This record gives sequence, C-alpha cells and structure tokens, in this order.
Amino acid sequence: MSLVVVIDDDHDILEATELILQASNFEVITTDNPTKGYSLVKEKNPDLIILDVMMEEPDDGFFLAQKFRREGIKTPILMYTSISKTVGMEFGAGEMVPVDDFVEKPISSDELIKKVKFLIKK
Amino acid sequence: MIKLVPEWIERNDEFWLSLKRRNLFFIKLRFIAIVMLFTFNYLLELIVNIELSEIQHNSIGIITLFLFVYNLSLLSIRKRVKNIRGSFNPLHLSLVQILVDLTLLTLLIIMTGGIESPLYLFYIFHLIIGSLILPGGVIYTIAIAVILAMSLISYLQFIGTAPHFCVTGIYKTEMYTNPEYVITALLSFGLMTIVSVFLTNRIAHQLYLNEKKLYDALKELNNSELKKQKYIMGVVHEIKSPIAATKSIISLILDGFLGEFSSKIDQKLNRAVVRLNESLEMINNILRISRLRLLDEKTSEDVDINKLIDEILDLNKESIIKKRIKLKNISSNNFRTLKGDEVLLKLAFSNLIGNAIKYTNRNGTVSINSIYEKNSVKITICDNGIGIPQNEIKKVFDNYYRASNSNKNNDEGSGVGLSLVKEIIHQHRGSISVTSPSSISTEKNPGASFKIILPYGLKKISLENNKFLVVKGGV
Repeated sequence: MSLVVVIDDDHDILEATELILQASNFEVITTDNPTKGYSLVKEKNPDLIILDVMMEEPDDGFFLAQKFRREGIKTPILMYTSISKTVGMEFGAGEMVPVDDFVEKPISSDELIKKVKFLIKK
Repeated sequence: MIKLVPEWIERNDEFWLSLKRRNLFFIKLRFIAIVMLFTFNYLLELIVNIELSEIQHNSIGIITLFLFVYNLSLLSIRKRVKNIRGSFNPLHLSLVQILVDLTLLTLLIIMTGGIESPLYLFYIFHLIIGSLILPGGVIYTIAIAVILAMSLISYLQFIGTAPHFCVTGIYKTEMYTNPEYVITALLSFGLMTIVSVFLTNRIAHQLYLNEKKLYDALKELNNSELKKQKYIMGVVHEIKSPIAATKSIISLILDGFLGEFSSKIDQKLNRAVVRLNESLEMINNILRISRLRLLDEKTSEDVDINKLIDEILDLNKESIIKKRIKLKNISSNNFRTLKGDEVLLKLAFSNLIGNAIKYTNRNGTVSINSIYEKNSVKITICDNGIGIPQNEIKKVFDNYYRASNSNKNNDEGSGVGLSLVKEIIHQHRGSISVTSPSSISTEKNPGASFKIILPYGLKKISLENNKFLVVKGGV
C-alpha cells in the first residue's frame, strides 16, 4: 500500500484528504505542523507528499518543498493552493517551485485521486 | 575609479542606456569633425582667401589622423565598457573623450593663431556637452582649466615666449600682440564659458532631480502596490479557506465517502454547494478585479468573439433549457478576430450573458447580436428580464452595485460583476453602455440591453520597463 503524507494546517482539509485517499486504498498520515511534517517525511519515506502552500505563514509550503529538494528527497510533491489559479498565477510545476503538481481548493475527490495515482505511478 | 554620479543614478538602467547612446553619438560627431578638419586643412584655402603655412598644414594633418585613429579605437572600446560599479564605465569613457578632445582642440588652437583662432569657440560647445553628462565639480574644474589654458597660451604668445602660428588672411593686422584685443577676447570667452556651463549644468541637474523624483515615486508605487496585492490576497485567502474546506467536506458526503444518505439530504447538500459556489465565485471576482487593477497585466492574442460567446452559451445551456429561454445569437458575416486577452474577455462576456440569463424570467428572450464594423465589433446583449430602474441606470457599473429590484430574484450575486466587466472592456480600449428597457421589452418585463464596442487592434499602453512586480510564490 502506498503511503501519502499530508501537511496542511486546516484540519477539515486533512480529514477530507484522508477519507478520499483511504477510500482509494492509500495509507495516509496527516499533520498540521510543517516541522512535524518534515520529520515524518524523513522518517517514513512516503510515496507522495501533499503540502498546503500557505500554512502558518505565506509560502510555508514552498519553503518546505524547497527544503525537501535541497536535501535530495525526490518524493513527488502535490501542492494544495487556494487562489493561485483564480488570479492567473498558474505556476509551471517544477519551474518556480519544486513540486510536481497542484490541486486547487476546494478539493474535488476525482481530481485528487487522479493526480495522486498519476504521481505515485510515476 | 572616481565616482562620477550619485548611487541612485548608478542603479538607473535608463541613465546608462542613454549614456551609451550619447557616447556613440559623440563618436559619430567626431567623424564629422574629422571631415571638417580635413576640409579646413586642405580645401578652405581654395574657397576663401586664407593661407596656412607648411608646419600648420602638417600639424593639423597629424592631429586629424590621430583623431581618426583615436575615434576608431573608441568605437571598439565602447562595446567592451560595462556598467560595472567601481570599474571603468561609460561615464568614465565620456570623461576621457572630453579630456582628449579638449587637449586636441587646444593643440589646434595653438597651431591656428591662439587668441586669433576662431576655433576656440569650439571649447564652449565641448563644455556644454560635458555639462550635460558630468557632475558640476568636474565640469567647472575643466572649464576653469580651459580658461586658464587659453589665457596662458595668449599670454605666452603675447610676450613672445611661445611661437605664434598665424592664419594669414583672417586678420589684416596682428591681433595677438594687441593687449586690448587679447584682454577683451579672453574676458568675453571666460564669461561665456562660465555662464554656458552654469546654465547647462543647472538645467541638467534639474532634469536629474526630476528623474530621481520619478524614479523614487515609481519605486514607492511598486512597493505599495505589491504590499496591497499581498494584503488583499492574504485577506481573501483567509475568507476562502473555510468556504473551500466546507465545500470539500460536503463534496465528501455527496461523493458517498461517508456512506449513503436520503435524497432529501442530497437535495439540500446540493443546494448548499450551489450557494458555496456563489461565494467562491464572488471571492474569485474580487481577486480578479484586484489583480486587474493592481497589475495592469494582460496578454494580447487573437480572440474569436463569436466562438467565445458560443462557449459561454454552452456553459449556460442548463439554465437556458430549464428556464425555457428563447435564445437569439446572430453575427454579421464579415466576422474577424480581435487582439485582446481571451481570459479577461471571456470573464466579461460570461458576466454579461450570465446576468441576462439570470435576470430573465421563464419563457423570456435573450438576444446577442454581433456586428463587425470597419474598426471594431459591436456586440449587443439584450434580454426582457427584470430590467434596471431608471434612477439606477447610471450606477450599474459602480463597484458592488446591485439593482434594488434584483433582490426578489432568487439568485445571489456579488455586485462586482459589472464593475469588472467595464474595467476589462476599458482595458481593451472599448466602451460599454446600458439601456433599460431594452429593444425586446414586453409590457411586464422591461429588460436591459448592454452595448459593447471593442476595437480590433489593442494598443499597448503599459511601459515595458515599468511593469509592476508580480508577487512571487502564491497563496
């Protein structure tokens, strides 16, 4: 069973993500704390990381993603965003930020499952 | 390296660009000077009655040749001079050029009669150019040095210590030995030099100060716009987060992740999703309008308005069928694309068409007419819905306006729609107007008619170099 670590400060989003992914047979560990999330990734070596872009501070997610990449952690990263698409800031994944794909909130279960499966297969 | 300009100028790219252009201009100008010197040395004698001695001919010839070689080397050096702080930069190159030019000019003046030489007027020309580029202290020093050099040459030639090379034919008698002439000429020259340098330098300084003010204002504007944009996005993010989470939870239930539920619950949850979508749309509209106002950023691409309208109608298909709306979508044959931002135009037209559908009752009519004229396309969107009260028609494009009679309609709206539409149409150099009742009004339903005129070509107005910075990262 593939393991997904989800890091987001919104508990409802964590719960929703957990439910959706568990229903698709993924093992899910969630945390609302970026520091804890960082150690979880180091410790468990998951198959995918889901990160919210803005946690306690704006860009927290970006910094964490960069930290993972700098330390040579190549686990695919899926990033949750809230308003980036609306304002036309569609980041090219991997260009500005070292993540593999984005999911815009509110989360659509179909989109999330599709993207998670694709990234884990890759 | 000596620092010739204040730090803020050093950081101004436009300053360096103009300096590079000026340096090239001087080099070109020098080639003209070389041609003029050649004419003076060999051809002038044939036209006017003046005569140069052999030594004069030779020395002017050597100076001309030196000037030519020196100018050619400048041409290649200028390309290699970079705007690096602390090293030899284009400003130093300008200073070197002025100094070498003045030295060569001094030699030419000595060889053509000192105070009798008409060439000394060219000093003033050099000093005016220098005043435009160099800081006050440097150019005043050069000006005083020039006046002193000219006085020294005149004095040494007057007392006979330095040799005098006269150009036969200019003056009938010897002027350089006439103290009245020498003193008057030197005084006028000195005064003219100082006044010219003073005035030019003052004007140039004023220009630099104005430029600095503009530069600072632009910087401040960029900073505050950036702060504002970040602030709005932060606030909106805070508002959007709980709504997004709520919708995510409801979607979980609706998608069956939490088990089965009754159709009544399903109905109510679906209704909740519709209302949540409305608030999300509202938030998104606020974000779009902020971005549009703050960044003034748009792309220019070929937009097919007919296709765009068809796509919007397709998205609204469900409501049109549900409300049994009669739809007329007519376009003139001479169809063509226009230059614009497709995303923004789509946003504008979805708002207008969406409103027409939203405010039209069951069995009503929505009519869209696109007429392609010579320079622009005229699109009229008419409906026979609830219309807009006469006393409110002027306010429809204001921010957060909602017609007083719209409340009885079941649909909610943000009120930012039409303000955003107007903003987008204006950004495309177009115009928008509204009339109510519309041309297809019925007795009960006055309806509204929106007329949009969009030119085919989109003139670019934003300055390339002054684009606002886009907030890096995201929220």
